[in-house]
Amino acid sequence: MAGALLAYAACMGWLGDRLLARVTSRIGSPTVALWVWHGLALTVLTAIGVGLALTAHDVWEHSLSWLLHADKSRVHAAYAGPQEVHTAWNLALIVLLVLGATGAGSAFTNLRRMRRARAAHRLLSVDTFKVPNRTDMTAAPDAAPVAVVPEPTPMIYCVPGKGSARRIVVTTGARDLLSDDQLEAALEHERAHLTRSHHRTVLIAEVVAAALRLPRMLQHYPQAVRLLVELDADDRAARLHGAHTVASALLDISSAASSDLRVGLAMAGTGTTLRIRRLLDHRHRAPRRAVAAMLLPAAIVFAAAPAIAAAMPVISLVGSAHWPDDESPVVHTGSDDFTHHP
Amino acid sequence: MRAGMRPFGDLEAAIMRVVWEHGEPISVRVIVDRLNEEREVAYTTVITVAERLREKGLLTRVRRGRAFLYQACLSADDYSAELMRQALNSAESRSATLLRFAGQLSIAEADSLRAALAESQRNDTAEELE
Repeated sequence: MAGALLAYAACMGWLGDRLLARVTSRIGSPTVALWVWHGLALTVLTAIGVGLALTAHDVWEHSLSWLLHADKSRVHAAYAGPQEVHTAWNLALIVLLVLGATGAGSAFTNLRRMRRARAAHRLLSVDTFKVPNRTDMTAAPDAAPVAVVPEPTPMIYCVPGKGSARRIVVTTGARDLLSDDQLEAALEHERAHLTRSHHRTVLIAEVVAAALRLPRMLQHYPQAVRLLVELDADDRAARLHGAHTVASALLDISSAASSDLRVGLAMAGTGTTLRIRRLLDHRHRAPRRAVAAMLLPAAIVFAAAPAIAAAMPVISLVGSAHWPDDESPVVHTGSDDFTHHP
Repeated sequence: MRAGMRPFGDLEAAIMRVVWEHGEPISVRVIVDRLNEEREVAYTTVITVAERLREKGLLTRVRRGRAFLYQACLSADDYSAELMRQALNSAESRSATLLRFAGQLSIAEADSLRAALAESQRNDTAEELE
């Protein structure tokens, strides 16, 4: 059981990761693709957690029965007592702690960086700039404050935060380059990032990938998520302002940047080409809500699979701690023993 | 205590704005007066926050007679320019901090995409005419 779980984790963490990374951009709905990725991450994490715990248990019992020529079932029974703490369990715990600590470290660094960026951007004064014939950009009470910054390089980005702490930054280079329609589409794209907490989604993927860096599992997760949140925000902007407007805004910003920038200042765009091609292509595609509706439950079942598989042998013993018969198969948990067998 | 500390973020921004607008070294009293036009702020709070800004390297203090005057280390424009420089560079570092609207395209890529966009738009108008 434990071996199967770990093999499953390895298979999903390596092959599943690679396969899904390859097809990610071809999944019509970014939301569905995101859910599939999160499902994959959850299934791998669960399988590793449960698998390690079970392996530790098995290894210890097998090695003891082999070493001491002891009867396996008796060894098992000997360890079924509630107060036993196995060395192997501790080892598994250590591995889990190492993975957890790596993840926590990454979370800490990322959150600190995010807090610093937020504090730094807070000092940028907020501008209420109007686009002719349109509504005030910052008129809506829940709209993110927009800061226009004097800088020739066209650039638009957002900093997450609550209320007055968040910012959408538009450089004067970007403002002057884009038409009013394009600018509004770009702002809508950034607003989608903020309202849908895309920063948090990316952060989760970063942390999971950092935790699994040693076994090199799910290493494509952050990159895929970073692309998918862009696609999601593109879709939102395209719905309101038209796919062509979004595509042309993207094209203008990304091609202007390359001519302006000095060599060596690399700006890794997240699949900008792919995003533009998709926008141009997208309008001819029927919405795939049906596919989404089918895929979502599948993703959830798939995510829960290892936990279900691990629990399966014990399913028939549900409630057995409360069975009156003393000869019932023993499934001990420490606290139950004290409370139910005084 | 965390929740109580959050308003400082807004106050820091407000104080920097006043200092930047003023241009020359400014006393805490003047900052408080300016801020009080919009909201109620205690003199001691402003001193505390100004000192924090000094620790962060955003303000400096100069002595004028018996009082201290505060001055911005960078002008507002230099500050935002520095921030933009960091934002441009941070695109390379893999972090979840900033989500950018667009990346960079090579000239060849941009040209081929421009052609695709033009064609897509032509097809659209053609469809509308039919």
